[in-house]
Amino acid sequence: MAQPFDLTVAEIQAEIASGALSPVELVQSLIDRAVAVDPKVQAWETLDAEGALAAAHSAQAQLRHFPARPLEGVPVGIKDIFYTAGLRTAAGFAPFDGLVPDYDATAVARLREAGATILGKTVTTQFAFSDPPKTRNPWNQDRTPGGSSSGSGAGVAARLFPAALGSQTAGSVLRPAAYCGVVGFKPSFGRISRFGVLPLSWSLDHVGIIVRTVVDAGLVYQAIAGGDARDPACLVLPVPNVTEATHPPAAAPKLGLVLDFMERAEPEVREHLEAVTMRWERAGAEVRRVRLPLSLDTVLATHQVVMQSEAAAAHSANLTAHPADYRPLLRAYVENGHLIPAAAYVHAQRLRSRIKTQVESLLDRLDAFLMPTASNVAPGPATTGDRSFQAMWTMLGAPAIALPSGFDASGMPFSVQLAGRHLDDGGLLATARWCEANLDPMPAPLL
Amino acid sequence: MYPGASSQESLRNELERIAGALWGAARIEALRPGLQNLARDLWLVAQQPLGPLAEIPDPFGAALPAPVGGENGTAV
Repeated sequence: MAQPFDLTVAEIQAEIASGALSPVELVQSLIDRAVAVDPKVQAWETLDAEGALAAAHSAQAQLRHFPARPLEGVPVGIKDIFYTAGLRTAAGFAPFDGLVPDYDATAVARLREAGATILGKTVTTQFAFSDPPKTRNPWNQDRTPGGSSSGSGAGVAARLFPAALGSQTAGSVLRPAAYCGVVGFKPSFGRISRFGVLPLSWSLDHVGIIVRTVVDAGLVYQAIAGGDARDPACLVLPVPNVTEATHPPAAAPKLGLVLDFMERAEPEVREHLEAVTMRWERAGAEVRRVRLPLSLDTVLATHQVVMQSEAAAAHSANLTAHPADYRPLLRAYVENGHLIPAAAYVHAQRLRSRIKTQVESLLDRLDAFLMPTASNVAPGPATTGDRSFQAMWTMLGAPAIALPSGFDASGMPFSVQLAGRHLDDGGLLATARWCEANLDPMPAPLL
Repeated sequence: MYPGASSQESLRNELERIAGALWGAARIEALRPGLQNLARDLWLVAQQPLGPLAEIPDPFGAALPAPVGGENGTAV
């Protein structure tokens, strides 16, 4: 058997259900792993060793009398903008250093109900914006892990935890997943409650999942998706059974390779994606070349006007109270956001609606769109990277997933992105499962 | 869009003037790169025509599912 810290969610599920692995043994393995590796990666903001061991003992006791729950004993890292009862939630913001919520965000509460163990809080960029974090990329500590779910992405890659929650307002789940060589899944807007998650932009914020396989993404999704009256945008609709959709791999999909992104990608990324496309075509996939109905620059500008207006509204009072505690990029973004006329914001929201209708019509004869997850592999640590390849799908509320797909000449991970139709999360995961099965397995970084 | 801005450049200048008045001259250097991006974004969005005047849009949450909620999973 692999070291406990090296197991995926599905493997942990099987090992714990069979009695081959105990929750306490697993948590202790991950605590030891953090001591050995986290000084290099700095993915943990708060490792709750004591709380996690207590939860693991509780799970172990439960297993003597009851069958295992869906995520029994699965340790999870939580981005430090999610409220966690009894555990500090600082969001990278010094005035919140002493903030200990007395309740859980809905997604965290649902993880606990499913039997998961909250191992601790992962590093976020300040309020999930773009100021660089302390976290380093496990594949090369001179590169960024991406952001804003920096610790969640780096920690899953470094085997500090098998699953993590992140959030995405532009590209903050898929980009760190891509840069760190793991799977990042942003489900449809309205599928996972944001209650208890510190906001950046209310109509764009999504909860996302970072794991190592598509099956694991489905397992975590199944536990946390579903209606919640405390988030007015969260849909009270039946959640599809996506765990069935990801076993076994679905039939070969029809994919739409989005040329607008290919033309913006760095040459090495473009060549890699063309090679992946050929490989999938040989395996039976049908790949068509498609173009966006209007320029990507306009799409991204629309996203920006919405995001910056809402970020200014969300942070206005807090910025007035604590201007010196804001990191430079976020402070300037919020200050400049106050200059956006209300009419421009409404215009952008109307345009957003039109773009969604036009883009979804392209999906009529496709299972998913295909493109690189990012324009390049992870850059240096002075930025969190380029969000322009992920933001469009966030704006459209569409499900999107990043799959690790190989390495560049310097050993940094490449990643492919699939995006589907709003609310068809199960369909996208089934497509992603087929694509993943036709890629090489991703090794662990040497740390 | 600011009425009277006839180009992206004039829009940027107008934004810079208002930013100075709002946040103080000492902040302008820090705000300037973002103002350049904001002028580009506002300009690009403004170039896109909207629908007929009679159209009733959903201005907040456009492109998103209609909000539903309620206690115990009851749609409202």
